[in-house]
Amino acid sequence: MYYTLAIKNLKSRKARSALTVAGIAIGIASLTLMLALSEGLKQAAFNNIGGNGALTQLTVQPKPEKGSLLKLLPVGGKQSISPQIAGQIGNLPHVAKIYPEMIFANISSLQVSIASSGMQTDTMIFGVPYEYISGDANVSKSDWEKATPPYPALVSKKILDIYNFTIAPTSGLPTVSEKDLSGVDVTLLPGESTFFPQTGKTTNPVTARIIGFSDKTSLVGVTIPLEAVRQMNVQRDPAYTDNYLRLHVQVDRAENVATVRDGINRLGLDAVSPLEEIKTISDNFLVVEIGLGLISLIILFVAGLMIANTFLSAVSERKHDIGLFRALGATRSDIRKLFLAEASVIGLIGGMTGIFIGAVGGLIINNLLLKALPEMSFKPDTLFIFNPLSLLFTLTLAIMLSTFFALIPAVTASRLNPLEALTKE
Amino acid sequence: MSLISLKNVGKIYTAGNEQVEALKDITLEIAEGEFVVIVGPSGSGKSTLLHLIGGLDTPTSGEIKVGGRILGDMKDRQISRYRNREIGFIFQDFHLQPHLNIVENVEIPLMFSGTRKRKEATIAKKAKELLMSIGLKDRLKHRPSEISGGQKQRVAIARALINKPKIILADEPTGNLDSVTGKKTITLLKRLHKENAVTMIIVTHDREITRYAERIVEIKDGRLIEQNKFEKFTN
Repeated sequence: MYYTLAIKNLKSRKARSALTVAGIAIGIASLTLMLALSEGLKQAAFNNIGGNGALTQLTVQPKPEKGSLLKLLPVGGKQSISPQIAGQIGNLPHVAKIYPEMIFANISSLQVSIASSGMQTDTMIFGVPYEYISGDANVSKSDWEKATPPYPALVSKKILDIYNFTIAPTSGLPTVSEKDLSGVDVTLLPGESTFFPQTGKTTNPVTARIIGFSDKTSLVGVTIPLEAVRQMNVQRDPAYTDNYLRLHVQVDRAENVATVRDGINRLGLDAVSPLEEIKTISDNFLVVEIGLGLISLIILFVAGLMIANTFLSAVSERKHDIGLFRALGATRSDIRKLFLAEASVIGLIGGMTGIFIGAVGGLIINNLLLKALPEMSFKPDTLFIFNPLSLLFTLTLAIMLSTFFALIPAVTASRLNPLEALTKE
Repeated sequence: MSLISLKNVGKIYTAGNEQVEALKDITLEIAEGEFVVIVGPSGSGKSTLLHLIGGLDTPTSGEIKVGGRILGDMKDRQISRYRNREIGFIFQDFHLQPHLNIVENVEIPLMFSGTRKRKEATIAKKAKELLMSIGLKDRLKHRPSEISGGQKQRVAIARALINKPKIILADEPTGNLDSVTGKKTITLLKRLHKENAVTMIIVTHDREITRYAERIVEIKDGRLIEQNKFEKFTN
């Protein structure tokens, strides 16, 4: 009943109602956009970590020595994990699988010929078992595990982006695509750094063939079969015994990750979970969300003040109507509800319009931005994600805010003396 | 037994530092089903009297009883319900809502009488039937701006009757109408009074209307100076 009358009252003052709706719509559109942007960026960051499968993985590495800058360098030696420790971790409850990652002990370099120009650059050489990269790289087990060069090699997708967007343009080098590099042979020069002086024995150059790009491999080098790296290490030092740079631990279920991590910590090792990275990102994004949300709330607050002002003017202008309704039997509560019904209708229409504008605006901005962004591995599929729950929250907020700001005018209207309202100009 | 009883009713308005005594010591009894016309010059206090009976205002002194209940003792919800269910107001300026059509205008009192229990279709049907009975069959979807003054007053009369009240309070119902339309309006009110057995109280300064009254009450300077039958009144 109140809504029927409220809608008719609003229709009778189309221009004013439209302006008030526009105020709410602008605030809601901005809130919708900001929530969707925040959600989109967060999702893009999560995807970059490694997708849902990574939620059950832990990366285990030795605890860094306090105050040592060397901890930043992924070199082998005493800061490594022995097969015995790896075995202990494998026996921990909820550990499904362990993938060890080995590193050639010294900084090395690689030679490659791209677009008829040869180049040599420093690199690290990592070795992983087939099972670790099998889901990510298009290579068979027998090819990965073959004992003779050229060894299959994987390169990080991100390093290609870094080269294409930072190194190539500033050094006048050609950009390369994954396709350009796939199948290209590189010469690995184990222990021959172009920058650091030689340390220890070198081994013979080894040929490797780039077979693909992966998100799982280390950023600072090439990844080849574990056995190949073991052979290089033995060649460098015949007394070499197996040790690992890090272990990639697969936990049976996401909810058991914390338990496994605690078990690993008790063995004196660090265990980093993508879940924790996601939590850190979530915490950081919470700040962003609060910031963006505050801006939108300020816009909405201003729109709310506009509603309060509009309705206070309406009380004054519609004094006569209020008096008539009271004379015809409306209670104070009826008058309050009538005003609040009008405000909630404004909130609903403003909210829906705002969400529509926000969604359409988001799609347009998304298309423009994604077109403007260069093709890179961490380019998100979308920058805006419209979560139905967020939209529902936004719509509810629009209605509640609108109703809240009409509360004082509604109470003022309900307290008018019926006779004075009806008879006095 | 009287339906409406006023006992030593006084009303003082404060305008700035000045106090205006609009009604002085009014004692009046009105029986159920009576057709009473209250006459008096402008500013005599007759409209004030009507507003007090209608529960739109409260007396400064004295007591008003309607159906045995003291209006001054009623809370907002009760007095609103009283105005909605037991009173039908007719105003000189019609007071129709310009953005609502004729039927919707008539429906307003029904909306404030607990529509949750009543279906909207029933409300509309009731309003249409009432409007048709007073000759507005062809104007149902018209807005107030699209009909004549006499028709507007008939809409206001239908609105006053929609909740089947016991009492109709009409404040200068012909004040904004020409004499022919005014006469038709009073004739309609007289007819409806008979058909619905309502208590009709009309305030006017038009002595012609007193012809239709069963009783005439004259007020001057806030005092009730005479109440009589038409014949005695005119003599």
